[in-house]
Amino acid sequence: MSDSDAVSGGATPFGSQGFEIAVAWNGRIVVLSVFGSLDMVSAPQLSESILNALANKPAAIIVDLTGVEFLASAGMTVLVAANEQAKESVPFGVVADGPAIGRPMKMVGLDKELTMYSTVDAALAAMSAA
Amino acid sequence: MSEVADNSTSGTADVASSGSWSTEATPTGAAVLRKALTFWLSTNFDLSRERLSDIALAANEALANVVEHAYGITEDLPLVELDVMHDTDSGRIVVTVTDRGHWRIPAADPLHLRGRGLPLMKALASDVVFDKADSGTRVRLTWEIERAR
Repeated sequence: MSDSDAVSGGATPFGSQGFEIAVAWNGRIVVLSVFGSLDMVSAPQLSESILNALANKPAAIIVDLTGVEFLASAGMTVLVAANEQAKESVPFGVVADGPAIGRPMKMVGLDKELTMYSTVDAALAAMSAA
Repeated sequence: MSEVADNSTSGTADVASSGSWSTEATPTGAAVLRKALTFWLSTNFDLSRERLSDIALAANEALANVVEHAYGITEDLPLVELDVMHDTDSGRIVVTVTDRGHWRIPAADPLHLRGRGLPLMKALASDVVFDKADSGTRVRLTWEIERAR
């Protein structure tokens, strides 16, 4: 599976307009790139995308948050749950840069709970080598 | 579709300005109130991006708590209200989230997967105060701000 499949969602009138998850495979590593607000409205979609990705038996899974403009605790919960579920069998990494996303994550110690990278390239390099 | 009641005012630098919105306590309603608050703050104040996102996130977490916990299945039209007030004397911005529900006991969470809302609110705001009564709950979040537009 080498194509990028865009999974659009959240097109409610007042909800997370512009929320999107793009799925790309780099060899057997799957990268889920999230765009928009990751909150109570959109978090279930990310959860579902992660489950779908895991069902395809990747060698590793990377969730890229560099396109996320707002990260609520509902989004953090999905990441932690996915990390718990995946790490038994599949390396799980999160890409986050900058103050909008990194700062709130640090405030509640998420940077210690999750394996974090500042770029997708860094995540791919680390996880390909493992 | 959620209907949002908007009772906002804005004033000059000498007048305390306030915003007030209410809607159904749903995830979509909470997102709408968060965006209304963010827009109101950015047009009335000269806040740093960091400060703006701190307030938006803390308010979001207070709203999310209401959506998740505040109402039982027998309530119809559960409402949540978001108020913001700038006190020009003290230089404080106060965000208040109010519901009239009875909070459900949260589901067991032995792996501690959930529950980051309250630690976030406490880390983001200068002060967090809960007022719980039989009639409902009010959360008051405060930030020390110096300047208004």
